[in-house]
Amino acid sequence: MKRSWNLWLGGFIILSMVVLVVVGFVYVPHDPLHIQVVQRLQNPSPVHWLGTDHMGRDMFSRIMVGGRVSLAVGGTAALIGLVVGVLLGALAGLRSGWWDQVLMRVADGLYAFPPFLLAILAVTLWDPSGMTAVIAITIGTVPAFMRLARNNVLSLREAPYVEAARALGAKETRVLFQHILPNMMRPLLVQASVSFAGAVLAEASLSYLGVGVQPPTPSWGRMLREAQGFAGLAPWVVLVPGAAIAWTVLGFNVLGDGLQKR
Amino acid sequence: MKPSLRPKFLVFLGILVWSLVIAGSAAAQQPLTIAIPTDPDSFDPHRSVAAATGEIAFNIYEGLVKAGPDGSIQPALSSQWDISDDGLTYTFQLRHAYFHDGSRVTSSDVVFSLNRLRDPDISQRAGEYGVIESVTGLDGAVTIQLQRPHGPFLASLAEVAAAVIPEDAENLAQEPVGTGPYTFVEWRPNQEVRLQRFEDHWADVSPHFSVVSFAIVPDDNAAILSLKSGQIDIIPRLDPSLAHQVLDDRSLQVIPGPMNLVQLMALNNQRPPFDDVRVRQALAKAVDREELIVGAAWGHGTALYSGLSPAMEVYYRVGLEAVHNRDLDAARELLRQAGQERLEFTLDLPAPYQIHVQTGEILAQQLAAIGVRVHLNIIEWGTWLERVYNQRDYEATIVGLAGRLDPHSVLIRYQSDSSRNFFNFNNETYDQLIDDAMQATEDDRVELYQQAQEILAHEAAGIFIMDPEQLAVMRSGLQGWYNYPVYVIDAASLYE
Repeated sequence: MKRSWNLWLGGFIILSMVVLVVVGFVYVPHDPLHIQVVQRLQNPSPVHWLGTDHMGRDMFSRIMVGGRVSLAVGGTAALIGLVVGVLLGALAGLRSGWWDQVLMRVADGLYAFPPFLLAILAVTLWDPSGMTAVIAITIGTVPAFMRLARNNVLSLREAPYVEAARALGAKETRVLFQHILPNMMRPLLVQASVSFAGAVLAEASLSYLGVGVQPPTPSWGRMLREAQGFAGLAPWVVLVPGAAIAWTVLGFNVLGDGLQKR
Repeated sequence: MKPSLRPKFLVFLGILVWSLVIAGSAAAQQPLTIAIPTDPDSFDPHRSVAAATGEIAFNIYEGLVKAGPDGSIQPALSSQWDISDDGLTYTFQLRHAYFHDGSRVTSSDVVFSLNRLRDPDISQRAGEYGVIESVTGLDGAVTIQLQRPHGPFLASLAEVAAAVIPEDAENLAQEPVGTGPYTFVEWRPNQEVRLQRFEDHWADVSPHFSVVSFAIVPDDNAAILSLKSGQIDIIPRLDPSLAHQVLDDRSLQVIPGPMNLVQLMALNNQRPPFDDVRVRQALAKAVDREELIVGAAWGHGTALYSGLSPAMEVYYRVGLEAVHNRDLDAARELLRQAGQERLEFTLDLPAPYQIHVQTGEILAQQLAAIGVRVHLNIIEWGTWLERVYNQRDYEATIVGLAGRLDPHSVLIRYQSDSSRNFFNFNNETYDQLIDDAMQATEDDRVELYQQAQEILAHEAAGIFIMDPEQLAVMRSGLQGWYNYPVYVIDAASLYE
């Protein structure tokens, strides 16, 4: 058990963020959208725990609400990427031949572009919005899952227990879901964790560039962008959203390491 | 021994002096770099609509006359002119001047340019020069005959649009050829526009900087970093919210001045529900300009209540703040009468202009107080120009309308048939006032333009917000900068 400390640490970090965001649905100390110009750039205080931004909005509340976007994008990208990528990858691995060739060449094609570049391309073609960003980032995570699933299927389908199941007359879908998938869960979960972190970072980057989530909806990336001019006056306005992004990405990466080692 | 050090010292001194000389002469060869936020739209003076293009083009093109730093009208290609007593005939004596392609400026070039300017098939601004009856070229002079007396005519000839271009010019949009103190060298889209000193310019004094580069830097923070690291020399219009980053920096100087800009929330007067004057008035009554000025411009701005800035001095109508006092109950009542209690609309905000974006964010909150839901939509500048300005396909937007030398050019925007009337404002009395003012005496013009401003305020043609202060920031040591009352950058006057 000593080896899996990073599993616990990663889990703790993620849990802390999730709790913060979930509590945000029920309770926030201040309205995160409420502009109060006279209260701008206030120091952290008992009233405003993490201070206020250049529009006088409460930073702590904005971090809580902005986390929704990050976690939603990360979760969507990791989950859909996992489901779609595994289905397509398994299909390629099981069918081989023509299916394999077409699917994996498409995956290679997508893989050639960094997910972030795909996302930039998408928001240029369509209107920049949170939805465009989610779709683009999700598509970008699929090929990694496809490759992983295909390679695992290729090696596992020759495994003695799979051959045994086949010999007993099990259908292909049953073989896949009962025997192959459960045995490749760990690398997939590691990949999911890494994809989650990547998606959070990609969304923050897009919002930082102003092409992700649009105001007034707060998101960590956009908070960072809007705050950068005031870093000299009030350092916390950039440190706080920066730390939130770093904390979350760190959490999922450490969790991924932990899953791999176990 | 001490004496033996002297030759070495002399050599050292010599090298020092020599390197200073080299450095000094090298510095003169360094391009002067000016940061601007948006790419030009077109260098064809008759097709460009963006003020941000005009500020570069000011250095390339010249008309018969041009704007001075104090808002006066200065001689340019014409050294002197006569106006007939009836105000109908203008005769301009032409200077001995050359185009950048080396050809001599002739009266037929001037005739060609002015005819092209008023050709509605080519020119965006044809309507404003429709008062010209005919343009005749003489030997070394040009006569312009007007249909009727037009007080602001001379000022309108000082605009960049009234530039004189060579008769055989092609592809001006990409490769402008003018007579100004700088010639066009190259335009790398979204990166830079590079100009070079025109050695054959008619003026006696030639500009100090031989190469001027307009660097397109959409992000003000990036511009400030580049300024501090010496990659750029001037930010002509700094976003006031970032002033704190430069005010304490001794290597920089900040030159404030009135911008003569009209920042407003333009409403598409033709599109329901903004075709209902009560809806527009309700919005006008809900706005807290003080909060907008503090919030978006950090206090660097003057509140506006109509379409003219106080920088226009005598023409400015004082006291219009009382027309739509901030009164939320009255605003709600107007919305109720108009049947728009659940008003929702989309507010397009131009991404490169932080001040407009932030104004929009705060304004949205102010309007929420009377139950209006505003959807913010941040769009690129190219999209703004094409969809909002040219196609007038929008509900509301926030933008700054650049100042002009004469109130006529500012106020004609709201005349119903103006090509620049992207508000689709339509008011017969207003149209008549602007037409009357063109032929009126100077005293009557003041009166008529003041009445015009009253109509804009009462009818709430748009929600007028502020004239933000212009903060020109540059490295200390640069001299000769002028904040013009029109939207231009005068690179030729700079020196160090």
